[in-house]
Amino acid sequence: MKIHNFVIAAMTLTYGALAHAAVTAEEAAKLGKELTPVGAEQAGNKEGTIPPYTGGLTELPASFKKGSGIRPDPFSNEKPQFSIDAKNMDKYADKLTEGTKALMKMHPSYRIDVYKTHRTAAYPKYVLDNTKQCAVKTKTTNNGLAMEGCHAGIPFPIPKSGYEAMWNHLVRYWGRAYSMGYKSTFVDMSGKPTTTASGIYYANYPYYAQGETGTDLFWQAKSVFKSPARKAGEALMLHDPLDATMRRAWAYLPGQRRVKLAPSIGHDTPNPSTAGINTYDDHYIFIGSMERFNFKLIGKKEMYVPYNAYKLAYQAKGEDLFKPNHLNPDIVRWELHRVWEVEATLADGKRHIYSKRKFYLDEDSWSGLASDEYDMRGELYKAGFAYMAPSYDAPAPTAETHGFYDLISRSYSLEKWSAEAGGLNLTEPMPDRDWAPDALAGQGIR
Amino acid sequence: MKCKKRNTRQKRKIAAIAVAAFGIAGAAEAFEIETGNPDVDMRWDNTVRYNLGVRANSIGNGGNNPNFDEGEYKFKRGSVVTHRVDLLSEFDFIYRKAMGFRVSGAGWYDHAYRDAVAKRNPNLPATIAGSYVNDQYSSYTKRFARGPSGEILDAFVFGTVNLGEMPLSVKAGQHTVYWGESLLQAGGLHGVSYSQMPLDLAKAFATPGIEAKELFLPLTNISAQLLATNELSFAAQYFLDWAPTRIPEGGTFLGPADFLMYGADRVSAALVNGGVSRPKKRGDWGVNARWRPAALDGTVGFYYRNLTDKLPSVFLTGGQYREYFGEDIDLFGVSLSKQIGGASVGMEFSYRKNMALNGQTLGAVAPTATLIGNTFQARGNTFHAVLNAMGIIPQNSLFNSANWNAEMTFVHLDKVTANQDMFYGQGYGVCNAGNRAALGARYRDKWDGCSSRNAFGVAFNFSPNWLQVYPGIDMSMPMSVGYGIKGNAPTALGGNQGNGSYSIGLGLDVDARYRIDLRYVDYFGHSKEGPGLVPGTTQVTSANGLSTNLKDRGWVALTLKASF
Repeated sequence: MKIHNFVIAAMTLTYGALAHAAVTAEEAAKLGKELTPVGAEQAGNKEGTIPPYTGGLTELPASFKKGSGIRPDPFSNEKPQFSIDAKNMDKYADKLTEGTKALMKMHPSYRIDVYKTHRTAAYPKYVLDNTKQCAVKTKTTNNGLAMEGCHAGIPFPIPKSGYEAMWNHLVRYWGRAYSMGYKSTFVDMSGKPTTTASGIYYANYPYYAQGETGTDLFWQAKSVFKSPARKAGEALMLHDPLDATMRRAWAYLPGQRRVKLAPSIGHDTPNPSTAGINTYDDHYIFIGSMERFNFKLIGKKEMYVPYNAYKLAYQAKGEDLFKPNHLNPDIVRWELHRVWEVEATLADGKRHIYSKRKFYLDEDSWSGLASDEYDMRGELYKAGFAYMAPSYDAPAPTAETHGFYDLISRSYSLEKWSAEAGGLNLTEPMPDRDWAPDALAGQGIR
Repeated sequence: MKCKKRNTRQKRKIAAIAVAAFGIAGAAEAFEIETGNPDVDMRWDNTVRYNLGVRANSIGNGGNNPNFDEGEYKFKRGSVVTHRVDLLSEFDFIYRKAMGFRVSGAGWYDHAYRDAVAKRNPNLPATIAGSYVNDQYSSYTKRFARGPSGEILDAFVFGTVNLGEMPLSVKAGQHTVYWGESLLQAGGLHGVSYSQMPLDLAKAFATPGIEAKELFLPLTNISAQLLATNELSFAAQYFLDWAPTRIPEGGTFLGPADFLMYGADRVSAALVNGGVSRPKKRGDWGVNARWRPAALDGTVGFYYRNLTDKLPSVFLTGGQYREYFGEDIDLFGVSLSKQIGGASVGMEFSYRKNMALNGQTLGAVAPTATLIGNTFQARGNTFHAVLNAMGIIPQNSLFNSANWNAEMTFVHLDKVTANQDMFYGQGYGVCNAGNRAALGARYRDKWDGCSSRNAFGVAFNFSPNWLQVYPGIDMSMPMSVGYGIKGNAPTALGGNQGNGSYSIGLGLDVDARYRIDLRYVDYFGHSKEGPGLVPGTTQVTSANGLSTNLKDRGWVALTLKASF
């Protein structure tokens, strides 16, 4: 028995340490046939509630103004098919996240309105072409914490491990570069909303540079704060390499007009832009290094998740959206989608405020759309949601706006919400030089 | 009685002003000014801060020395030492994210100084003159301690152009640029940014909760930065102005010696303040290069500056005492910043040539001294090192997170190159132990402030945070301590052994807009004492370090701050 365990342990170690290609050529051949080019199931479900994938939404609504940054809701004439709340949640229990169910139990006013499912995630051709190459070439290294062998594509369209699925999420395609005006709002337990931060956010995904390979960085981000007033003029820059344990961050300090290397902002450090309700690695459901958890791929299932939430992301007004205890259910669009379920459990000898996390990744976009976070006692602690609203003009399945419900303090956050702040504009990538930390000093005037 | 009534009325008045200011803060959302033109960004931000301070310590032996009594006696234990409103107003105009201008200004009024009089120790002989004529503050001291007054801080234009692929950013006008990696005050005094700008230490001492942007006094200069590649940048700066660093004025609560600095009228009837011996205003300049090679995973910086000191030496010439500032100091520096084990680590090494060395305060010009520029200061070459780190401690059972930073400074006197008889350092002048017999009572040692060859100091800040302790309210407990571990620095305000300060407080952040802080601030240091002028009393005869004189001036400060 002991020897048997030892052999398994040794095999696990070998398997874990070995860098290996994700899938065989035969398996990869399914991409573009049974599977969509990024690895989702091509077919709809047998009930007909999930349609087959037909390439996503690339047609622009007539009301879309190029360059406005605000994306009209292409489905604005649709009515909800049904609603789920505390009264009928049992009927749908297997398709709701634990967080969604907890919110329903906690607040009689909380409900989700379910609309017809539209598989809107669409990609530029080069991303799909590269994904095919990546499928057979990409490998994780550094025990899953780093990745290599793929450029400008979804690295593991047919994932075999939790790490591979999470890498798909980390390097998901949200466009090559963009800037957005954003607000971050915190609603405390008394129901009072506070804008905890606002500013302009610049995102760059060098990983998706066309034709180039060999980039070390998959994500560069810069936030220039406009509020709160005491933070106005401050700026923060982040570089995340394909070994996400090597994140670097710099801050521009108003008054001094210089740039300092910021101490590692990651893992469970509370993010002040969200009044501390989100940890830094809660950003976009999950961002940064996976080193503190073990990630297990559970499988795929049908779930109700926020999707095509254009009304929330681009049209809503703060006074209508931020209700006590939760976002106004009238404004949040939910749909039935197939999602990958990944379970992360705290690794031995590591610490984090979460003992366990469940991530639900969209099969069509690989974006994390929902999550459940458990505290050290094993109690459900937070419920996270990202509000997918694809940039159909790119095309890119963007889910920038996201937020967390703290089920213990009964407060919630909404981050990177741009409806009242000018929207999200797809841009040409800024020159490399603008991503040098010292560029923050040259550009800062406060 | 009449007087008391007036006080009460005035107190009500200032309370009303403070309340009104916060009322405006609550109502206004005036930060971004909408122009309808997407090319134009305009912002107008205001910060109102109110400080109420109460002295916690009793008047000590410092007050028995006529040179230190006015600061000590200005407020007794339990008195309100500051009752002050500060306003910081900032306006930015940016066109096409590439050019524009910025103006900022500060205003203040401190009701605790409404009478604007210096208060002497009533037990001392009345024949000893006070530091101020008729004990009335000079207009300078009135302006900065009481107000109402104000000043323009930033006033500059800026623009960015591309030289080929290299963005060049230029700023011209009154503004601050701060080079290097130093974090805290001591780091600034030993770092590559030494005297890059004057500091308003008077305001920093008197108003806890001050923002870094108010600490620096911007001077007219032209600065530029060129991003040559994404790994290499260059910067340069040329000054067209000069101004000295401010320290708390004599006769005010935090004034360490009554006759210092720019506001006091005199030491005694026979020895008057001759004022600032102004160096030339233009000509300071500096260049730096910052390089971030991938292999290093950090940023290394190289610096050269030619500067005029912003910290004075105070010595006697021709029956007056004056404040002198060394010109033409060369500074060569190198810095490194790197992330190590989750902490942001910074270090700086610099070498200053022709650096002004400490002189004996109120010492006479040595007969052998030669005039260098417009001062008789001793000059020398000094080596300075700064090592710092900052980080965040994540959530545990005690707090949600904690910010910390720590800084160590080290200074070494390489050699004295000119006017060595003017150097107030061990082995030189009145600090020369070998000449002790001849010097007699004039002999001074380390505890009188004589500089040593090496000095080593540390500072540490720690602030645990608790989020949402009440809806909309975050709490923190900032603690700080800084002191000189060994040796007296050979350069001004560079640290003295056993001298330092500490503070502990509790802060509340309300709705990300208001900040309330309650803190206790105290100072410590080593002083020598002897018999007082009045029989049966003891007086401080000399102190090792300027703020040692504040060791009986621990105080509690309540700060309310709103930004809108």
